[in-house]
Amino acid sequence: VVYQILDDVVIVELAQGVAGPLAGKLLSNWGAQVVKVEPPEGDASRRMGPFPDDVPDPEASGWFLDLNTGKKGITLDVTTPTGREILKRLLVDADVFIEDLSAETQEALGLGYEALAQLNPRLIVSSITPFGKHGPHAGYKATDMVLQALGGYMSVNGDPEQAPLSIPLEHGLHMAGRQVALATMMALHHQRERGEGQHIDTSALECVLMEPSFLMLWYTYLGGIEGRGRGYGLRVVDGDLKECKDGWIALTADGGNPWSAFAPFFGAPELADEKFASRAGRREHRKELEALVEPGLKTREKMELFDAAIKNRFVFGPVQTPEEVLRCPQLGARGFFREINHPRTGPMRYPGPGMTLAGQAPTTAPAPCLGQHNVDVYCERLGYSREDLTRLRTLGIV
Amino acid sequence: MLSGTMLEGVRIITAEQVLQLPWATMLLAEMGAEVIRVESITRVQTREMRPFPENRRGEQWWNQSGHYSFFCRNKKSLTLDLQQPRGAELFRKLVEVSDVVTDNNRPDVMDRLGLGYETLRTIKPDLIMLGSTGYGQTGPWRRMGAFGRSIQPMSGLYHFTGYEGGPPVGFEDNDADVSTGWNNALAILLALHHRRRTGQGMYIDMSMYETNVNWIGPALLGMQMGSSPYRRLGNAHHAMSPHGCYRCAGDDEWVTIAVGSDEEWRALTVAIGKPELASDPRFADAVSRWRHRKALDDVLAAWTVGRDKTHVMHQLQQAGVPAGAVMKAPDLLADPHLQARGYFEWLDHPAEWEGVGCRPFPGRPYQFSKTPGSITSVATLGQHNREILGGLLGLTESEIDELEKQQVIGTAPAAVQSGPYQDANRGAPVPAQKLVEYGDLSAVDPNYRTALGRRAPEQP
Repeated sequence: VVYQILDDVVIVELAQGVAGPLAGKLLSNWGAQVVKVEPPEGDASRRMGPFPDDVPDPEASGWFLDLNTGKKGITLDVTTPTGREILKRLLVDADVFIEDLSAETQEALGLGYEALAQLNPRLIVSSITPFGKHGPHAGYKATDMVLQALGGYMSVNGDPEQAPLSIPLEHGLHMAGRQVALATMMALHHQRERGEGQHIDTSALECVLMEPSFLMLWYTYLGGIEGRGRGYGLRVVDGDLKECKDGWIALTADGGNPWSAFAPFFGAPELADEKFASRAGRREHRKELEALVEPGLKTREKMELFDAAIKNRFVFGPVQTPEEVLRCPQLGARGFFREINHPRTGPMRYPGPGMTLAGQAPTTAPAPCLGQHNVDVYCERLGYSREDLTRLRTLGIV
Repeated sequence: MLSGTMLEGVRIITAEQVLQLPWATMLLAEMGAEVIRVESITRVQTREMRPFPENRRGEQWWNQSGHYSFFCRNKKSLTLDLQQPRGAELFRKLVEVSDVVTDNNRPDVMDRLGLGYETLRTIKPDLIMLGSTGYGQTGPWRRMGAFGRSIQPMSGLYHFTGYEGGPPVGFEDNDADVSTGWNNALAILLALHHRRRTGQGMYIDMSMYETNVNWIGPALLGMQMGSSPYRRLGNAHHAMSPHGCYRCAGDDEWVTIAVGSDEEWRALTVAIGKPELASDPRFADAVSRWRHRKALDDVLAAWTVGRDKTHVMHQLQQAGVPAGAVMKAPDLLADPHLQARGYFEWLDHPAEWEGVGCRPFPGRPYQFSKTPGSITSVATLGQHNREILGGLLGLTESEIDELEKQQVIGTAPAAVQSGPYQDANRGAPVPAQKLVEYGDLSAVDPNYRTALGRRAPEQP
């Protein structure tokens, strides 16, 4: 591919962990030139496992590698006045600045939107912080679980008899990163059409709340407060995880076939009874339903059930393990995984963007090693000499 | 003032249903794109979906669905029966004057209707078209249908979700739809950028499954690097401790507390009035705390159990410890932080929306300084038929009347065919007490209108 959609877009990313870096990656996927600015000690996600053979290695964190593909990496201490001046030189001709500083730090460093807009009116400053830049809780601290609690998401997840359950793997921050990328592309559209930049203040908490935001509707339309697990254990063929021979599977009865098609599939003629044909009926008679469905599941393997579902026009979803995802025939046939070769880990298969754009291929460049592109960026792009670079290094600025 | 509306001038025609694509086009419509939703008067399933105001469906229920207002706000409604040749023909005429066509039917449906990309691009060479399906337009599983509740288990994250020592547990089953919606909207903006640069359109093949496999990216890399796999740990974290969700005063009220450093740990022990814990050898360092995390959970649970969840949150946050109450809908609506940020917006439904009136809706998590976007309107079925067919496509009044007679267009459902959602939504809404019994709802607040505030609709 000689041309990538976003290869005319210059992004400076001063963001650590999950949300900001994911946003940068979703754009670097399509060729955006992302310069990732790390503090001299590196992005916090370099300290997050998994690591090869469980040996911590800042160059081989599964999180860092996954979230920073296709970026150039430089180190810079922006808390020093010299570091800030260098950062501003990078921002003068950038399109986008993705940053996750608190409002307080940002102002203290002189990197507030007004100052940056004077420097470069076309600049889009895309900010992502846990609670947004303003509001009474803007200074509060959060982890992913705390955001899932405050965003209403935990109140609907888990077993009603146990504590509300959070979703692992930084799921809330992942959702935030996706929305930061989307908002940034919206602002980029506006910048290219009208020539002006702007500030985007994104709140990770509100990003999490977008997912279960539908729960608000049950309250604002009828006063209903959504339950945990939305009927955990009561949705026998409507989404509960049921045990089969080799794992777990979710069945759904709404795949387009009439209910009567279920009876022969499970070898249980009694299932054809109309009382099971509505979701309400299935809940009323769930014990009977369980007794009729479970024997047909226990003897069959999950992918055997899945393949049969395709043929019969049912919609089933087995719980796949990561190993199964990695060797999935559908993903294989579509070339979903990208082979990316990182000097420390060797080639590995990374998930693709989820969308196939005709005539385009997502980037296969790996995440940068710490400071890998210092020479490229400081010397070749900003015009510092190698001696200057050594000076900056000696002073601890890069 | 340059700003204006951000996506002004982008016209999107969408043949969409249920959630994942409606969500995407709604996000673009909020930012000013002109989204024309092509609806059928024989398959109106999105308008059949709950909730309905006060849990009652009126005679004109197709202009009452909360689901519809939520996912289709800011869009225009054009009815066209695409199964009739005249309907498909008008769709093609509309394509000539539009930028983007989107659909989330199963693969081949648009081709069968004579509305596939290869056909449409001959009419509009720089057309952007997005097809969003469960598993993509190609591959052995392409014909498999998809719901959030079937895609989420497939994509791997359920494998890691659940209480410690227990089986995998599913989570809220719109998650995959919502994520795919974000990816759909992103893809459309990427294609618009491509068109601006090259003058060319593009076909986008979106896969819900692939989008959601991304949630487990780091775990997939870990597996290939020979690291120990993640285990299901409930609310525990694989590094931080304490890290959990603890019961508070009230009925099913909880708070989360997360400690990521020695400093936060010391602050926590002081805040809960047990500074001696900091020198307890079981909890003296991060590794010991992780090993003794269950004992630590017991200590915190004993402290939170009689306390108010919001009070605990503020007290700990002021001490520098990350903590957050488990918020439910009424808590969110009343939350001072969300209110100060103006997160909820009111949508005032016109009189045709019987009994709906003015209700608050969640807004956007991103605040643009120059082009803020807003919730503006919601369309009754076929509301924009005459504006679009007459104004945009130049049909005469009598031609439009004829279309109505042929039931190509309409403003009320014709004999409704069954769609996959009929069970969940057709007929009388399930009584609220039943929803509580089924576990869909944990409670019903009879005084919720008071909580909505002064703009709330009156008691019918």
